[in-house]
Amino acid sequence: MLEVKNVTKRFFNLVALNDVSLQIPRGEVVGILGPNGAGKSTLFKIISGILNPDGGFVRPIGPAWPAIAYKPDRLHFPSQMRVREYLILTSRVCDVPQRKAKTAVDNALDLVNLTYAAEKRVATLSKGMRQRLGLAQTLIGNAPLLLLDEPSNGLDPEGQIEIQGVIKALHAAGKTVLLSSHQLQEVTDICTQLIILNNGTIRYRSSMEAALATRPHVTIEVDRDLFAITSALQHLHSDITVDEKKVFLHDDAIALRRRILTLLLGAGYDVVHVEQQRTTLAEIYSKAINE
Amino acid sequence: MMSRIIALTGYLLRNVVLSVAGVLYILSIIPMLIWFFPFGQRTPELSYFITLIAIYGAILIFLVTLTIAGRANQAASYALIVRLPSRVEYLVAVLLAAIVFATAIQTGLAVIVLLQPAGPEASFGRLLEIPPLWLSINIFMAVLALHATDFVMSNWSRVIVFGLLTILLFTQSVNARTLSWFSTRLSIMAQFFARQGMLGLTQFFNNASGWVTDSGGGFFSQVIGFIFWPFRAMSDAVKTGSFDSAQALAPAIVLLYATILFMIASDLFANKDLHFVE
Repeated sequence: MLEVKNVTKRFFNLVALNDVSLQIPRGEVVGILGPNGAGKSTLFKIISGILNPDGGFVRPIGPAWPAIAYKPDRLHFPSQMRVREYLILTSRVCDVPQRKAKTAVDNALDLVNLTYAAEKRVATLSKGMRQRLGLAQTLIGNAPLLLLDEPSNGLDPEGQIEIQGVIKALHAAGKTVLLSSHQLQEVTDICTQLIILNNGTIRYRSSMEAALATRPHVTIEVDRDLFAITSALQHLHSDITVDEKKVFLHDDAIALRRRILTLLLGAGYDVVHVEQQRTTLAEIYSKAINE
Repeated sequence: MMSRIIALTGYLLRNVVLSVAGVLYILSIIPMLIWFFPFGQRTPELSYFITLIAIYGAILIFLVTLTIAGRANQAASYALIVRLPSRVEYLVAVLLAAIVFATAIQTGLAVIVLLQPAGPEASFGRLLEIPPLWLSINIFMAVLALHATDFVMSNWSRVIVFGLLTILLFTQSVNARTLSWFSTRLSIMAQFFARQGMLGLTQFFNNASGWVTDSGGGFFSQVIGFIFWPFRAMSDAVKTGSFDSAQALAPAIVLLYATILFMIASDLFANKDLHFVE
């Protein structure tokens, strides 16, 4: 849907984005992870056209620019307006026909569970309600690409689950979503693509499926201390670590697992427990950030 | 496009009308009435009425544009701007809102003054001359005010636009004494370069000094006079009570200036990084 190519952005001496290239494929939910100051919001602002890149460009993959809806990370609304009035204004800016505007607003409010606050002034909304309103305004006008900068920030767990449900429903309806979050579980649950950004550069990119499928961990526990054969085990492969009664295999190859078990059994150990664990997003994130 | 601009204009208008600044702008009619058009006291001439309310309108619209642009320059607008096919639509809405609000207040003041029992007497034909005059000045001032705002300003644009305007206004007031001072400075520079043995520059500054003394005044007054002609023409026409065929073009030329300034403003706004106030 969109291609970001070699984008660089500087704020005086600070390089916020450095030669960032990525694609946002149609129909995918692309999750962007990264610590504060990694350049996530700057990337969102460049894609939405609020900021101009100092180098590189953003271009559509296809003949025309897709309509974009954007929820900024820091939410500001015209404080004197009521929730419904603000969404009606958004619908008019998005060229929603007047006769359909009310339905569009009602649907958006219903989806984010904010119907009860439709007549409240924006200034009186709680942080969680403002997050919902921020998401609701992106639903108006049927934009095919949604940029959601920290959509569930400030929401209680129930609210986070609701918002995740909305994003999943949008994905199912064929929308393309680019979202940033600090909540790894949220990204794991709803994103189909993963990008990890740190210090303005992309440190990791993969489909979520591939990211979580690769390199499962295996832990083999034996009946007594492994001190006697530690060096023999570590000679088998560099990805093997030993800790008292446990052998950790970070790269699960069946052949290697067999060799470890053969060595352990041959040395007279009893294997009491074998556990296979998938790589978690936290591990991927931690590794990408600390590299 | 028009429906989007109208929606945003309505939003910005509502934003300013419901603010303290908006109420103060509306209330500014009262001191105008008290000081310049006191009730019961006959307004001397129609030209006085037209000129005074034109000046009031020009100052008012400058301030109103600063206010509306300041309010448009807030982070609440990010989500709306992203939805627009062109950012310039938002700039047009800011300009329209300022023109509508300020012109409505100006018209309100004019109607109150005209309806006073001792208000100025004006034929329908003369009243018809007023809208192009006031409107062209209002639009020009609104666009000029846009360049003074952070909303439109990019890099050194504000310094360049208002610096140029200051130079034009300064040059307009150039007189024989100023030219003589300037000519002397050029002569001093010529002498300095002569002492350094730089004959080419010495010759250049000597020639420039001579040109300023002989024909500089005429040249400057012609160039600057041409630029400021529409404003002088409108002022003259209001004083004499009728527009001749050349003077009738003056509002159109002021609108041309406004168009050029707006094209610069829209180019700046379309290509700048938006750092709205949070």
